Amino acid sequence: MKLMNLIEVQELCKYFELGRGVISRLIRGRQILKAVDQITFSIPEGKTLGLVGESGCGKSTTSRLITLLIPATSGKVFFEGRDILSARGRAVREIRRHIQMVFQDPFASLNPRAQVADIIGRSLTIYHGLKGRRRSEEAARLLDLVGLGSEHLWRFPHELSGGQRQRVAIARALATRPKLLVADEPVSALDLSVQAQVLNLFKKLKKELGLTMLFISHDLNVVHYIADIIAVMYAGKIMEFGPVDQVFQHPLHPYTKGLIASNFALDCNKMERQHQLRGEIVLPVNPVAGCRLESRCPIRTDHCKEIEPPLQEKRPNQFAACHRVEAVASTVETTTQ
Amino acid sequence: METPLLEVKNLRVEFALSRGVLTAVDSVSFRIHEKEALGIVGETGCGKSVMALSILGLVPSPPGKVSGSVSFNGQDIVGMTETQLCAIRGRHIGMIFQEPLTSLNPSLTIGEQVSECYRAHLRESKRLAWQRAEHILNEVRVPSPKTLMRMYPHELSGGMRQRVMIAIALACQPKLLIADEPTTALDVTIQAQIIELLEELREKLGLAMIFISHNLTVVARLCDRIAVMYAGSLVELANTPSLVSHQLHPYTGGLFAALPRPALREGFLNTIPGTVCDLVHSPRGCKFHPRCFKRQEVCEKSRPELEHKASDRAVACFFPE
Amino acid sequence: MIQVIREGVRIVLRNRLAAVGFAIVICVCLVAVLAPWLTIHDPFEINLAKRLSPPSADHLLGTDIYGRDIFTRIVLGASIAMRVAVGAVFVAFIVGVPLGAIAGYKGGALDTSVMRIMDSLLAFPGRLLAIALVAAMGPNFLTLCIAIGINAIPGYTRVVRAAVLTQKGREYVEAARMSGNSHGYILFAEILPNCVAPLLVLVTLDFAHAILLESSLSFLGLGFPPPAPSWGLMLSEARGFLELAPHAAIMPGLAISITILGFNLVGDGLRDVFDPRQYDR
Repeated sequence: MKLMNLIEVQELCKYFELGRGVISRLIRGRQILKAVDQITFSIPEGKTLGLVGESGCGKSTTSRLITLLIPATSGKVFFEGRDILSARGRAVREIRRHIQMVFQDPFASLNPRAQVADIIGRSLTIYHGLKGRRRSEEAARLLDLVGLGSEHLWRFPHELSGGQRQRVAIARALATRPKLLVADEPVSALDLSVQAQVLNLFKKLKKELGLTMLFISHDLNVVHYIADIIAVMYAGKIMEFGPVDQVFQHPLHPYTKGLIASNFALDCNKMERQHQLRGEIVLPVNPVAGCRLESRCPIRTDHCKEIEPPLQEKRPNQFAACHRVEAVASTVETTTQ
Repeated sequence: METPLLEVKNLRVEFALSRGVLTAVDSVSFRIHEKEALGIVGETGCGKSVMALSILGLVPSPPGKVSGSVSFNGQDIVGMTETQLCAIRGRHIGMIFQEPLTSLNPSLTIGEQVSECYRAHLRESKRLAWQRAEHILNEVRVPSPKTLMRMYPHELSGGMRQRVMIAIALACQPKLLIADEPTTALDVTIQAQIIELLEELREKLGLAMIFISHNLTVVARLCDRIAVMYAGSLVELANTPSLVSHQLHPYTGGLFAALPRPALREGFLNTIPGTVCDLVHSPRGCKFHPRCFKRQEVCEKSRPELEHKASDRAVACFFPE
Repeated sequence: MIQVIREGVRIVLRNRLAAVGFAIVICVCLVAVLAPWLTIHDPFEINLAKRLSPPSADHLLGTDIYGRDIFTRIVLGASIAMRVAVGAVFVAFIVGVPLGAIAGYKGGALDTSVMRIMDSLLAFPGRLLAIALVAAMGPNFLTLCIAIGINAIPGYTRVVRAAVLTQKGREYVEAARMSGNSHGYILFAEILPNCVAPLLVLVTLDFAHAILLESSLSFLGLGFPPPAPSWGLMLSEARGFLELAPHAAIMPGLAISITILGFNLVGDGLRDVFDPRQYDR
């Protein structure tokens, strides 16, 4: 049985114009940062999509586009079959009942002057009309769900540890009873032992509430642990997309391969050098035609410089945007021997 | 037995705060021999950075107070005057920090900053210093050092800046390099490049290194030995392979079990309950006992010392695995 | 709010100079409030027999040219100065804060136009503007408050706008939007309470400015008309007899200086504390 897609993103774009001053434009011309450029993906109901990439690749922008926090330049996002990007005003509020977000920095995402009961309670009042004692009871139930006691209700954020704050942020996101939870690097600001607690919590929520998640992280190990499907982003484009195990075992794209090679694991001893990426991420400001990875790619050809590879299904369910998929596949074989 | 390059004995760093005395580093002892890389891992606030600063004599005093001994090549760094410290810092001990942008002077070119090391420490002429700067930048594999030397720090990317910092740290061919979270601010692919560079330079220059990080896998990859810090104290010290395969201290065990691994996808990760203790009013007995699943009465009463359990490893626990 | 004040008090006490300033401010406020109970003389009672007499047991700070008790008049002057200062700061606050907050939050053309209006207001010499306003509308309490307050509006607008701009980029604002809050709620209930720190500094320093401006207006004869016991007016009346009875001019002058010093010390102390570069835990 084919699973229903809860959310479908089609050719979504977000361009930013840099240096809008008259002088800067005279000197450098119009500078357009294509932070997110024609990305297409979907998440089946109940599944978790892990979005990985380096800083500046557009993964945070993607999360803000889907949650309607910033307007898109073009493209469509279908949630349960409805296009949500055209929503305005009240309709946006109604969509946020179903799509909620957990932010990266638990020290910045909670208002320092509000108590936990109010932080969680606002959504309860707005979306469920709960007030007073019933609101506190529901907030306490949500705290219990994320593993905190009701004694935390009357605390201020500065009285909580990083892990506890992130739990409060998760409880706030769950208050509207969303179907899709967008989590933007929710564990990267946390220490290892606390990170494990929060990851477990996400896993538990996924199981118990049947949540669909878009989980953004720069840490491959975290994504491998939590996600069912993975999308690898680079310079505003999706480079590879597919089931997690399949992508990790047989990466098709040289960028994915490079990321995996850069990712240290305790059990593998020496890094596979031939897959290592050279240089650093190039921000897609006025990008030229051709593959965005071209300057860093170890297996590039002249063809890559001229024509941008489209994201295509190269193996069942596994998509990659690369002209030289066969070359990557063959290096995989040689290293596994 | 040969004398160690650096020997830290009962190092203790305290800060006087309005609410009491904060013990950031609590009786830490270890030695590093020449050409050896020691990794120090621990979570935020465990005192690993303060310890690095105290080895360099950089703890501001007051409010800090450093006691114990840090002997480098037989000289005790604790109690040295600022002038004596300056002769060692940068010359015999190099250092790199987490955020390279704040460690570089924004108004000087890279060339000026790198050649300054040679001029200050080795009293070399301007021309020779410039040439040597170019050479060392070449060593750290920056593309086209000549152009880079005329650039300012803000024109470089994070990875390039960190390479420049490494060049500055290694300019005077120090015996010891202290690296405090040098890759934390970098992306994974850049981190991999920097780690590889450090590995290479270590071998080539015969460098001893203290590598401080919260990232277990990076430390395990780069270092010969690993010291695990918790709430200001060393809880375990062992050779990397033995530590990775088998952890004696329950805290170290907890840390390794908390690493997300694909093998655990169906289950849950192991966690350490609770949070790090207050460093001003730390608990009696073992500092880890409130979070330890193996605690017994003795753990609440007396504090375990770091004791050798085998030739290559030591642990501070009454009930090691 | 109580928590904010308590926090402020704790912080101020850490800094000695600020504590001195704080003591002065408290004293002036107490004097202003308790004025009717602190005096035994009638501030308007003219006694030509005792004119310009030096400080004595009966008249603590001596008397002025009409033989009125200077101490009584200074005490009552404190209440006038404080009332005008409170009124002026209130006017500036009530206009400047919402303008700056909305400009910073909305951005775009609204932001640009509000800030350009503020720039043109700033380009006007403040004192001249106040003089012109009082001259046009007559010297009464409301006019004085508006005339003095209008000069301070751009300050509030700028400070609030800058604070809102920094807060706006923080994740809790995005989170508040995700919770379904309206923009008005987010701006006034979530963001503004986090902008209190720079505002507190500005309010304190503006009290000093307002008191000084009120005194200068009175000195020029544009404040409250005689026989009101305004400090500036007292100074102006005593001006002609400086050699004969210096105390008549020195006493109100001291009152002005000390009060302004007090507010400035508190303001500087608060600024030091709120400056993130000096912030320690």
